[in-house]
Amino acid sequence: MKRLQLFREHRYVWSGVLLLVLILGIAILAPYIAPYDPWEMGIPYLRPNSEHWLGTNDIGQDIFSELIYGTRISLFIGLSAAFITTVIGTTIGIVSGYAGGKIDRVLMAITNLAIVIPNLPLTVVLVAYLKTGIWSIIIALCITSWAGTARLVRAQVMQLKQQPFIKLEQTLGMHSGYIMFIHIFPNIGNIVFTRATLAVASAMLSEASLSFLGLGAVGQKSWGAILNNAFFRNGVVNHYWWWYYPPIICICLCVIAFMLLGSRDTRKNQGQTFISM
Amino acid sequence: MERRSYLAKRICGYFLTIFLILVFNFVLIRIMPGDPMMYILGEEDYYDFFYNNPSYLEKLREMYDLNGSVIHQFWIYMKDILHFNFGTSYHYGRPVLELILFRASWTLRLVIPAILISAVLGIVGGLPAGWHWGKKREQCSTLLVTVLHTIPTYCLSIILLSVFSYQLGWLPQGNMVSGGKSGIAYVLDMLWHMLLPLLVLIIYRTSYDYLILRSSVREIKDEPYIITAFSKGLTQRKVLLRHVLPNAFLPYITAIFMQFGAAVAGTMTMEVIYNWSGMGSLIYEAVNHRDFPILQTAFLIIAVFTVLANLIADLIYICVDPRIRKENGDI
Repeated sequence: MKRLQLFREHRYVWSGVLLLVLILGIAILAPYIAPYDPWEMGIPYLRPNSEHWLGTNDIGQDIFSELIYGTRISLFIGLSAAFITTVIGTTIGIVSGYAGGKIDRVLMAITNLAIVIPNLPLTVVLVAYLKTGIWSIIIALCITSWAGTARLVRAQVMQLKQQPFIKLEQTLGMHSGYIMFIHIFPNIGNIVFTRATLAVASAMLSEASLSFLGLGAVGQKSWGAILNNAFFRNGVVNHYWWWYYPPIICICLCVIAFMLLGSRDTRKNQGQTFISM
Repeated sequence: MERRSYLAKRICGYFLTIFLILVFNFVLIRIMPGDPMMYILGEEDYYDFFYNNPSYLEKLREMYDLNGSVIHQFWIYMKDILHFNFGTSYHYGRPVLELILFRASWTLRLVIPAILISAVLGIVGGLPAGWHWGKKREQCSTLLVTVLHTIPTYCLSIILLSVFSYQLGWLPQGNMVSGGKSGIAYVLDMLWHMLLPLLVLIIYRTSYDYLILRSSVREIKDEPYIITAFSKGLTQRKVLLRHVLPNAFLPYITAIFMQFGAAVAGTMTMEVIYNWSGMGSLIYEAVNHRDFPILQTAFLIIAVFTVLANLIADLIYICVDPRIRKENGDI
């Protein structure tokens, strides 16, 4: 009974978890689930039928298999970009908030700069300079996106710093690095986690827009790339709905899943706050 | 006096930010893999000179001051920018600045009306939503808005384009004007073409504005002065318009201005889909043609523009809110 109550209380989070487990499962088991090799060419422009559930694209690749393989690349880029973003943002936030003074001022100047610079144009410019590949996309996505996390973490750390247990540790002469990462970090875990889930969502969105613009990793199947094909190779003009609606739905579902997951510490107003993030 | 020095400090801060953006832009092409000359000349010309005429390449390098010390290079770079000399596009063969300003005017034709209309719609929706926080009706509308906000703009653009232009045939399939028209017919034609892109932008921005206003109204709702206002016997309508809205309005306006730069940048994919020749599609074409002078300048202009929008937001805040005098410059 109690367990059920806990589930009800966190129903938004749990639905996010369920959705994510499903998506992760698809990504990991892609070669076993996909009915065809997504690079294998066959008869182009087939309508959905019993053999090709979502038809085939302009060079005869099975769209359903493309989608399943696309889960892998979209998720990989989203997760790794979010991981790097969170690590950089949290580190800068903690150091800046804890150290204060000149270090804080310099780090915050850089953070404010990164917040102001508009993301998508910078990413596009960077991807144009770097050779297209998964890692250059990840680097381009990370270069400014850490700033929001850094600012939030800094504010939290500045509050925590005033707490008696930190003061006590400082008096005992403990190493600052130890205080920062062993004692302060666990106390801001919730916020970092929420920011991380949002970072995955936004990285996946940016990756999809880059791939849609044709700036994604060359030769990789990602949802944005499928949409790019559908749009620039007459899928939309001819209204082949099975070609462009599925990737759109996948992108939205994935983003919603991560946002739901991030609504963890909002027990008070159940699933309301994640909306206002 | 205190207010003035605070103001001066903020403005200095923003100029420092602009300077740092200029430095960032300068460093960017120099730390990128490969020869910076390649980015100035374009890949084709670069390899042509590299293999057939290396001495000319060196001469060009000297002309662009890429062989001096870094400080000397930076000096030349700053001088060029202060003279608004951003070079020539090698795809279009025209001055970069002229191209960008022309394209930016088309983007602004979309962005400015979109921001204004969604600001109004955001108030109409967000004010009652924040006030009736937690009720069924509010939950439904918030859910709808959140879903709309989650759909990326380019997905929404594609859906609307396929439904209204290709299937129903009510609206044009992209482009900005049909051509061969003048006067009122021209304006009407442009509006007809603007309809879909504008709708996409309005949906996206309204959902954002709605969520912001909703959460700030919700916070104000619990303030003691609202209870005071009610205890004076004011009607709910009066409390909302006289006490809640003015207090929620300030952060709202600031948020809208802060998003101005992002709004310009956010039209990029949408412009490509609707074939709207604005800044976004200019950047897109520049990437495809490896037209680096355009890329760099466009990025620079958008970034500086965003900083200025932030500055304006700050100025409004300082001028309107007297409380800010007491704060000591930390945000």
